Amino acid sequence: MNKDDKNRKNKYMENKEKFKIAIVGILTGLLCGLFASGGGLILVPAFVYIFKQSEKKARAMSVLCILPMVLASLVFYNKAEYIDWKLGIICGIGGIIGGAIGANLMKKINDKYLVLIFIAFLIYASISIWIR
Amino acid sequence: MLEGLTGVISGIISGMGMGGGTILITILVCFLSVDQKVAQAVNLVFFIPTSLVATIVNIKNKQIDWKLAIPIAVLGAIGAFAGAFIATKIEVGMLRKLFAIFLILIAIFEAYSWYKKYIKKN
Repeated sequence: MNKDDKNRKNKYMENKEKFKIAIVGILTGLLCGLFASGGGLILVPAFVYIFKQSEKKARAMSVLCILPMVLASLVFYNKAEYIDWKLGIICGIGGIIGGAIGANLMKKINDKYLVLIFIAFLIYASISIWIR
Repeated sequence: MLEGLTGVISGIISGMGMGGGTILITILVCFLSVDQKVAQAVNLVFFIPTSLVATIVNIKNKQIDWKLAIPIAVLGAIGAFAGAFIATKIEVGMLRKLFAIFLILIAIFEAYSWYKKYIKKN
């Protein structure tokens, strides 16, 4: 392979990477705005499997990346007057307490069975939201 | 009271890194009869304080690859503008059905990665 071919190949890989970043970014944002949730469930595996980041970094970066998506979404939800601040703050306080408990719990329990419970809950939730 | 408890449960799931937001919205919609769009807005508010604290810690611990994170954050914000605009415009029953499909897709994906991680490996 001569130098020219090598350069062309590098350029191609670079563009491919940029394309992947664009798709992942826009798609996550779209779903994040539409459902106001699930961003992490998409971004964490994307960072791990597509961009080859460690699990820990993937989690850290997904939280950072979702923050501006949430703020952008809030503009519209606020304008349409869907924000119930009282409910949000009560849930938020509970969330801070729960978050601390969860972070400590994570070190202690095996998530093998936890994920199964999560999957079962998702299926149940999906059905009850559909028929509601 | 129940709302606070919902927050605690979702917080625990989030803290374990499993998608507390979907749980929060589901509990609010299914058990506390909150409107789907209001529940989604609650989750947005819910996300900010904890993630802000986590992000400051993560930056300090040098867990961020900025070259990758910045374009995804910026493009994500643009996508979110579009997504949120659609969410506020479409009929709530339609949004609920789309959300139900979204949950099923996540369940399938989680099941697949669970299978890959624990079954196929052995």
